[in-house]
Amino acid sequence: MIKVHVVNALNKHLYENEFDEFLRRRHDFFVHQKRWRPPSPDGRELDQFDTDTATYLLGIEDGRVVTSARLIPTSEPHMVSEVFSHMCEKSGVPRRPDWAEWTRTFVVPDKRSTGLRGTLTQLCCAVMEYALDEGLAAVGGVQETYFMPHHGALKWRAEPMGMAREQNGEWYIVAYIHVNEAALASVRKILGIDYSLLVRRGTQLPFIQWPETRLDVA
Amino acid sequence: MIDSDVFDFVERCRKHTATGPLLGDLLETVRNLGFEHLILSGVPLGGQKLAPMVELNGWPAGWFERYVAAEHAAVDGVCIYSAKTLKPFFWADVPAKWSDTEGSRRVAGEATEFGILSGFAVPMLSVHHWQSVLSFASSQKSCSLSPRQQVQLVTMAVYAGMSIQALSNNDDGDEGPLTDREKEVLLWAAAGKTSSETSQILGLTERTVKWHSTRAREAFGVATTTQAVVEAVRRRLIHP
Repeated sequence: MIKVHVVNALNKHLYENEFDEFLRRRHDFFVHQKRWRPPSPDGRELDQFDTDTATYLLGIEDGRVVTSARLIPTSEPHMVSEVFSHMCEKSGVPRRPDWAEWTRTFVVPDKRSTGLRGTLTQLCCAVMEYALDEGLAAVGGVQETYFMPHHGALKWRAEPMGMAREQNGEWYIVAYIHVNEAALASVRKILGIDYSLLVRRGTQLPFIQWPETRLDVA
Repeated sequence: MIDSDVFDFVERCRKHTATGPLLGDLLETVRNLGFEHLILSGVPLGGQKLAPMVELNGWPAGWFERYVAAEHAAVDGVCIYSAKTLKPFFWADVPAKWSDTEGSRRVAGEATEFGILSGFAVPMLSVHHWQSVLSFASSQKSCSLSPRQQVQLVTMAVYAGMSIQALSNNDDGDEGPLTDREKEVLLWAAAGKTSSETSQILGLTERTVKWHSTRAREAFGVATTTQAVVEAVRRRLIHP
C-alpha cells in the first residue's frame, strides 16, 4: 500500500529528492511513453501549470515515487481553462477555488495493471481523502475516455462538461468527479482499508484560497 | 441527434440500477444514429469463453447463440482487433490482417443473416478482463457517422461502460480466486522453477508447494500449472 505525501509551496523543501524523482518519472511517462510532450534536455518534465498554486500528491512505496497527482484550483489558470476550454460546451469551464483540476497522474510500469486494488486505485483513494479534508466539491479535468470505467468501478460519479473528443489520435473528455464521504467510503471498501493514506509534513497550505484570505506564498 | 440527447442519456445512466434498463435505454438512444444492436463485453483472449464476459447483450436473438456455439470470437476480426487497440474504430477499418481471413469473412457473412452489416466499436478499460469493448451494429451496408455523431456515440459508450462497472458488484473481487501463496507459487512456476526448487525458495515442503499449485488449477478449472499461470496473468493476478 502506498503512502501519499502532500507537497506544496510551503513544504516542498522537505521533498527535494522525491520531487526530482517525480519530475523524471513524469518525463519517462509523458514524453517517452505517451509522447504528449517534447523531450526536455534535463530529463525532467515541467509545464506552465507547475506553479506555487499546484499541490502535488506523491505516492511513495518502498522509497520510490510510484504514482502522482497534481491538483490546481480551477480558479487559477489550469489545463482545461487554457488548452481544453472548447471541450466544455455543455457546462462551461468551471472556475471555482473548491473545484480542483487533477492532472499529471502516472503509475510506474511495474505497478500497473494490478487489478482494482492496485496503485491507481490507492492514488484515487488518497486524492478523494485529500479533497474531502480540504473541503473540495469536485476534482477532475481532461481525461482519457478509455480509463473512465475505472471511476465507475470505484462507484464515483463523474459529471461531463462536454462531449468526448479526439485529439492527436486519442480520445479525451472533460469531467469532474463529485467529492463526498460516499465516494471515499466506496474506494476504501474496495481497498479493504479504514485508515488514511495521506502524510502531511511541514507547514500545510490550505488548498482553498478564497480571494479575501489569499496568502502570498511567493 | 442533438447534443442534449446525449447528455440526457448520461444523466439517465447513473439512475439505472440494473443492466436491463440500461441496455434498453442505450439501444433506443443509439437507434437515432443508425445502430439497431449492441454488445458490451470483456474481450476474450486466446480461447477464453465469450459468454461469461458479456455485460450487455443487445444482439439479435439467435446470433449470440450462433456466435458462441461456433466460437466465432476466435476468428472474428472485429473481436480480435478489439483486444489490440485502445481507440474507437469502424469495423470496416479493422486491418486486413485480421478482417481479411477466411474465418472473419465467414463470420461477417453469417452476421448479415441477422441484419448486421457494419458497426463501430469502442474499447474501454475493464477491471475484470483484459479490456472491454462496446460494439454497435448497423443493418446499413456501411455505417456512416458525421464527426459530431462519432463524438456523441463515444460519449454515450463511455458513460454506459462506466455505469456497467458501477453496477457490477465487487464481491467476487473481495478475495480474488487465488491466495497470496498460490500467486507466489505460480510466479515461481512462471520463472521456470520446479516444485522442488520453489519449495526451497519459499521454505515450504514440496508437498505444500504442489498443494498450492493444485488449488490454483482448481480455482481456474484447468488441468496443468502452465494453464493456471497463463490464466493468472490474463486476469492480471500475477505479473511475471
